[in-house]
Amino acid sequence: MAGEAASLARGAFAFCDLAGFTAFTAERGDDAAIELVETFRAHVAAGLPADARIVNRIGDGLLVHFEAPSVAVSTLLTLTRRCADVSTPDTPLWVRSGVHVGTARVLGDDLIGHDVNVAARIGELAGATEVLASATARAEQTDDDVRFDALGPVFVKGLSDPLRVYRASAVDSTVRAPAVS
Amino acid sequence: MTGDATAEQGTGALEIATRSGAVTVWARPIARPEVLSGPAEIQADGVVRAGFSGRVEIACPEGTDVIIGSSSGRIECHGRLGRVAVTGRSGRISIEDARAVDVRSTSGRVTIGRCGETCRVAVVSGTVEIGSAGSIDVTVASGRLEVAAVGDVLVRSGSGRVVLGLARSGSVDVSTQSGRVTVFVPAEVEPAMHLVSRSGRVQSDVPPGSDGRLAIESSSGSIKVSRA
Repeated sequence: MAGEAASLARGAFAFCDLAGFTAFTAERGDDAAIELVETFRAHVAAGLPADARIVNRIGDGLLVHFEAPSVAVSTLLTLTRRCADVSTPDTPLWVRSGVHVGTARVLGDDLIGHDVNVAARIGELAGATEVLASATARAEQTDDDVRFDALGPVFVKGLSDPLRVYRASAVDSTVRAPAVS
Repeated sequence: MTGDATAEQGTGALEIATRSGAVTVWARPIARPEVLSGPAEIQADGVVRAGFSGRVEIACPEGTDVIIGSSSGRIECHGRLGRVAVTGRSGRISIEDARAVDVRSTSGRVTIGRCGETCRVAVVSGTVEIGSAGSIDVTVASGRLEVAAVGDVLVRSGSGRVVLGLARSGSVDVSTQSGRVTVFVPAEVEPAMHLVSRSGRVQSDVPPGSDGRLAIESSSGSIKVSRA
């Protein structure tokens, strides 16, 4: 069976996409949407550590695999902040992410498995510029500059048991402040 | 953790998870949580567990932090609570009075009466109404946001009207795609202003000054700043 031959990938799995992308595409059209997605992908690719990679791309969504789970949350927070800092009404890079730590099977260039699905479901709960983490992702995070606020046991689509989900934020995070005249 | 409704108080917060059914929490001058109705029980270690698919009512001491996860069903929190976090996929969420709020929902109406500190709301589709808050951090992909009185503001909205009443001078940062933005500024407050809409109309009858800052950016929505 193919499943028996598939190798195992361990680490952190993160689903990232752009909040408000549907409204943006409806408002600005497909060409602007492509431009926005390309900008988003470039920012993510440039901000990943050497042992992390973009596994899959679906529209504005990205599946990212971090071999070292300890840096996943802090990396996503930094990426999210950088995108927010350059965000404008014409380029609303409102990144939202869900991250979970576990294992997955390797299928070609893709990763398949329950823990990947969990990351995706957590990401669906995130608002603009938010990074949400599972309990395992929180436990793996070693950076003391990251704060986690409990969002509670949460039921998500397709899973019978609730997940413990946390909102991650940088301790020194501040609101982006556009220049005023 | 079971797949049914559970409530526990092991982390200092009252935690409730429900797959379906309404949850009502009452803040009262009592010493410990009590199950008012619904098939739930308080265990010896202080943990409350309930398996149910209907309505449950729980009373807790005033100022308690409450964390509720729900798949569907109405969530109501009455009285003065601590930090209230609610995550739901659908159904109406209402919180009367909390120190801090963190609500996220796929769809439905969110109503917050009073929030002393930060009121954080993320809604994919729905209406958000906030009476008063120290500050707000709100994301609405599609839907309306109305805030009666707030200090600091961070709002990102895809489509839908945004109406903000400022309670004082503060830091206001609003970014929208297509929704109309209306901000009411208190008398004698003259904020530094950055009002930009790519294709919408921009109006202000408030003179610019240095009492806080007002930054509003929209792709196609109109912007109006008026005296309260």
